[in-house]
Amino acid sequence: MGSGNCHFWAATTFDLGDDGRVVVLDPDADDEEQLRVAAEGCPVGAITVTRADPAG
Amino acid sequence: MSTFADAVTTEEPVPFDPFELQDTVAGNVVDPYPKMAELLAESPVHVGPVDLGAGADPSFSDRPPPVTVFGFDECVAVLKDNETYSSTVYEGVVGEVMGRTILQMDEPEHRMARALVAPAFRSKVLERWEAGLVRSVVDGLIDRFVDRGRADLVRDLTFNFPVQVIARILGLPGSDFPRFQRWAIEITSVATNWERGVAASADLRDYFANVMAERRASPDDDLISELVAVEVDGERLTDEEIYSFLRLLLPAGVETTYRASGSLLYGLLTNPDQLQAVVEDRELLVPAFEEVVRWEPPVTVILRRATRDTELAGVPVQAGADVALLLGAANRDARKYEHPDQFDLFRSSRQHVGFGFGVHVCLGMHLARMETRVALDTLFDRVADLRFDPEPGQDYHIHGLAFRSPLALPVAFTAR
Repeated sequence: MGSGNCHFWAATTFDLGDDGRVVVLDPDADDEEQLRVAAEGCPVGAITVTRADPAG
Repeated sequence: MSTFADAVTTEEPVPFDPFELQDTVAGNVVDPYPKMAELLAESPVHVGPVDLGAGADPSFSDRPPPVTVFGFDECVAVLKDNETYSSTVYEGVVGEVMGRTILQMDEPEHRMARALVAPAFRSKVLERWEAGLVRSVVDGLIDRFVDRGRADLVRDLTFNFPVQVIARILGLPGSDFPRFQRWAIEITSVATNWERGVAASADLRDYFANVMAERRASPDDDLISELVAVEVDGERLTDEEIYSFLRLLLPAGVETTYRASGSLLYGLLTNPDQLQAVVEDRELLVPAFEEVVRWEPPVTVILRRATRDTELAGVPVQAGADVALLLGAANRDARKYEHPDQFDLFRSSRQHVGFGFGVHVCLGMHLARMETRVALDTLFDRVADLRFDPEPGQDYHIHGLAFRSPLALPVAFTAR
């Protein structure tokens, strides 16, 4: 829906496309805390943050 | 057509007494939060009238019993389920004064209508207003009082800057600001003076009709030019939709920001260590603003109406029942937040429902964030040693029930 909250909290990870849809620019760009806040703040609950397998 | 470089320092603010508005519109309640916490501890959802200190509303007697939601998770659940919980509840009073707006629409109409206005409120688009517009408005207001060493930051700053910012974003000429601010006050206080509010609504319609005709003839870099030109998937806004949306900007975009910025200053002034931290590191204005929208949301309650019989946290909700979501209570839900009643910009969870949640989440949140951040950043550049300095007996606490903010912010400072 393009609220832009994720971009507000983790600007180097998320951006909004011209159509208002979210784009992941770089999943490693922001720290974990910023990603957590961005996911919590998504008003439609569209963001899930999972940790990549450290061995993988 | 004005440019945004217009000086705004020549217009005097419209004489206005926030006390007058607070007592009637907002409810003269100093602190409803202990009562909210007590009721939340009993149950996150209550059926039937509740008394938060202003008396229970008996007007529901012939309708399904109203439901009041206090819990954080329960508020989020209602706001996510916008089929069961409809926004058409706003068709009544708000719809009559403002006209048909996204506030009262359900899906899929809401999604299409919001898509037309949303691009203008994205954070990247708003950046262009930051330095030249918001900062210059705030600097102009500070110029008037900075040499005095004392001020009431409500009267002298927070009450005035959001309306001037909106007026300039709309591209209105500086000479129109006084009457625009008067209409803003009149339409926002419609609950206390219905006829005056409705008259202001009609005046604003005529005024905007003229401005829109001008912008169609010669578009400029302003929101009205954008709204008359916008097109998404072949859909355009009708003139009536634009009038309604622009009218809605006054209560939605002016009053809330005035209240939130005042409460943020209050939160910082009553916590001098946090004020000091923010003055030294302005990046902290970002979490500080989020924290005030959690701690003292300017709008403490929003409404939905149940479209079917359902159940919330085990409590039955009848079809047709008005459902009041106490965002203020949810934002202090002790099941979610530690020391929920403290203003703490360093708290770990920054999630809150002060802007609402779900598809109707506040469209103007990025504007509110940017405006308030720039306003306080500018203030801290101009004054040092900011501290409360009330007259003997002066009441400057945060007041209100549905809408809350400080009555006054009497301060002393040293000009930098």
